[in-house]
Amino acid sequence: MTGLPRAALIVLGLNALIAVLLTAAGFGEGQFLDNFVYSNAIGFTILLIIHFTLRAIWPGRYPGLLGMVGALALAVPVAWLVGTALASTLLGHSWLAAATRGGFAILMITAVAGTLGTMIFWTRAKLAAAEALAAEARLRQLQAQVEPHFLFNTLANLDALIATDTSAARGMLASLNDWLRASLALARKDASTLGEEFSLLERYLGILAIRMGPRLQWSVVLPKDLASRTLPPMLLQPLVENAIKHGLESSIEGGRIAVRAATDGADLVLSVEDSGGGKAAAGSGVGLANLRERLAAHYGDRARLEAGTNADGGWTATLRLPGTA
Amino acid sequence: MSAPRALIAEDEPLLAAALKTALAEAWPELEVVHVAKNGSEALEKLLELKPAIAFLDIRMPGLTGLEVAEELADGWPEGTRAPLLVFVTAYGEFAVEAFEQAAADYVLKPVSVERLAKTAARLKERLAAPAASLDALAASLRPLLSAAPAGTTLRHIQAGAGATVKMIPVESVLLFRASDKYTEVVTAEGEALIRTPLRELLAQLPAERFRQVHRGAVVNLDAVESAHRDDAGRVTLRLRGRPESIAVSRVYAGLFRAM
Repeated sequence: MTGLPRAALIVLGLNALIAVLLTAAGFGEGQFLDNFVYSNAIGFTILLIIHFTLRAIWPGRYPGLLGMVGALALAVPVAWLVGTALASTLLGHSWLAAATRGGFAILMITAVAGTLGTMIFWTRAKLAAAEALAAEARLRQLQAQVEPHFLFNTLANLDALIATDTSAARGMLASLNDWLRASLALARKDASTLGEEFSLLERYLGILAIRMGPRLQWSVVLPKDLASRTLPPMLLQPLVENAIKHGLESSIEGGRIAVRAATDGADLVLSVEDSGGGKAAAGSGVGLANLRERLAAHYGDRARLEAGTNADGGWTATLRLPGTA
Repeated sequence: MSAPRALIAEDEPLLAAALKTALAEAWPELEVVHVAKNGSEALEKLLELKPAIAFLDIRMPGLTGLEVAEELADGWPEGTRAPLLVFVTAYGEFAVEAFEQAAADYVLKPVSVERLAKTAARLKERLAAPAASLDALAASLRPLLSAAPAGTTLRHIQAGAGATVKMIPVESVLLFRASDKYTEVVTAEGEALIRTPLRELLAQLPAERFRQVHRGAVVNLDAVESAHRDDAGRVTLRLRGRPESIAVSRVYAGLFRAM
C-alpha cells in the first residue's frame, strides 16, 4: 500500500487514456483539455478515497476482495459527484450542466475505470505479498536444513561415548535432542527471544566442545535483562557456524569463540568473535549474503551486519538490530 | 609375517579412541603405531613410521584425508610398498565408486566391529598380493580430488588493490597458486591476491582450460610451455613468460604424457 506517488502516475496515465477516448467519442465538444481535467478530477478523487479508506480500516495490510469492492462502491459515486464539481469549478462550467450532459455515461466510465485501476493495484500488491511469502518459505527451508556433517559426526561421537562413558553420552544426547527440537520449532516461528537463541547456541557449542575436545573454548554472554528481547529466529546460528567452519575447524590448534549480546542506546548489538587460526576471511560470503537478505526483509535498512578481521587475527561478525521491531 | 602396523588420523578425540578400540577387537594382531590429530601430523608420521595401513578421516584441519593421500603419493620413497588407505567419513559426500577405486576400503562413522572385520579381511588379502605402483595409487586418487561440484563459470577475477578492484579476464590468468589464506593470481602483467580459496575457485573455472596440477596450484593449460619428467619420475612445468617452474604432484602427472 506504499508508493502513493507511483499509484498517482499510473492513475494519471489511465486518466489521459480516458480523456483521449472521450474526446474521440465527441464528449465535451471534442475538447481534449476539458475532458482531461474532468477525468483527472474524478480519477484522483477515487484514488484518494480508496487509499485513505483502506488505510483507515486495514492499516499496514492489504484488504480482501470484499474490502476492495466495498471501498469501490463508496468511491465511485462520491468521486463522480466531487470530481465533476471540482472540474466544472476549475473550468468555469456550470456543475449542473456538466453533470447532466455526461450523465449516466460518465458515471459508468467512472465505475469501469475505477474498478480497472483498483484491480491493477490490488493484483500488484497481491503479487508482492506472494513474493514475500515465497521468500520467507525459502528462508525457513534453509534454516531447517541441519548440516548433515554436524549430525552424523555428533552421532558417531555419541556412539563412542555410549561404550566408554554412559553419563557423558546421556548429557550429549540431551543437548542434541534440545538443539534439534528447538531448531525445528524456531524454523516454524516468526519471532524468537534472545534467551531461546542463546540457549540454542549453548547446546550447539556444548556438543562441538565434546567433539573437538581441547581445540574448542567457548563462551556465551547474555545479560539477564536482554533474555526476553524478541528477534527473528536463527540469526546468530549461521554466524556461529561460520566461525566454527572457517575459523576453528580448519585450524590445527583450534581456538576460542565468544558470543555476546549487549545494548547500544536502543539498539541490540550481537557479536560472534573467533580467535581465528583457520581460513577465517575466506568462504563466509554466501552465509552472510543470506543473513543480510533476511535482515533486509525483516528490518529494511535499520539493521546492520558488519564483519571483519579482529585483533586476534580471527573474525568478528557484529549484528546491530533496531530497538523497536 | 610380522604383525601389520597402522596409523589412524582423526581430529575428534572420541572418534579416534573408538576406532582404535574397535580395531583392537576386529583385528587383534594389528598394531596401531600412531594416532594423528590432524592431516599434517598424519602425513609426517606416515612418512616417518611407514606403516602398512592408514585410516584417514576426510575432514581434518591441516590437510584433509584426501590431501594427505595426494602428498603421500609424492613423498613416498620409490620401490617401497605404499600404505593401504582406508578413508573414514561420517557423511558420504563422494560417490562410493570413486572411493572404491582409490582406497583399499571406505568406512562410515560410527564404525562397527563387524564392518571393521570385513575391512580387516579385505586388507589382509591386499597385503598378501603384490603391491600396486605409486603411479597407480596416484592415478586412482585423481577422480576423488577433482570431484568438485560444477559451479557457475567465472569470466573475471576481481582482485582488490587498495580502494580499486582489478578486473582480470580469466583467460589471461597463467597460474593460480594457494598462498596461506589467500590465492595468488598470476598473469603476464604481475600478481594479485584474492581471498577465495583455490579449491572453491577451481569449481568456477572453465575446466577445458584450467587444470589442477598440485594441491596448491592450478595452471592455464594454454600457458604451459613444457613438462619435464626427471629420473625420479617427478614432473615440473614451465610456463610461457614466467621464470618459475611448477611442481606437478604424482596424482596429476599423468595429464602431461607425450601423445
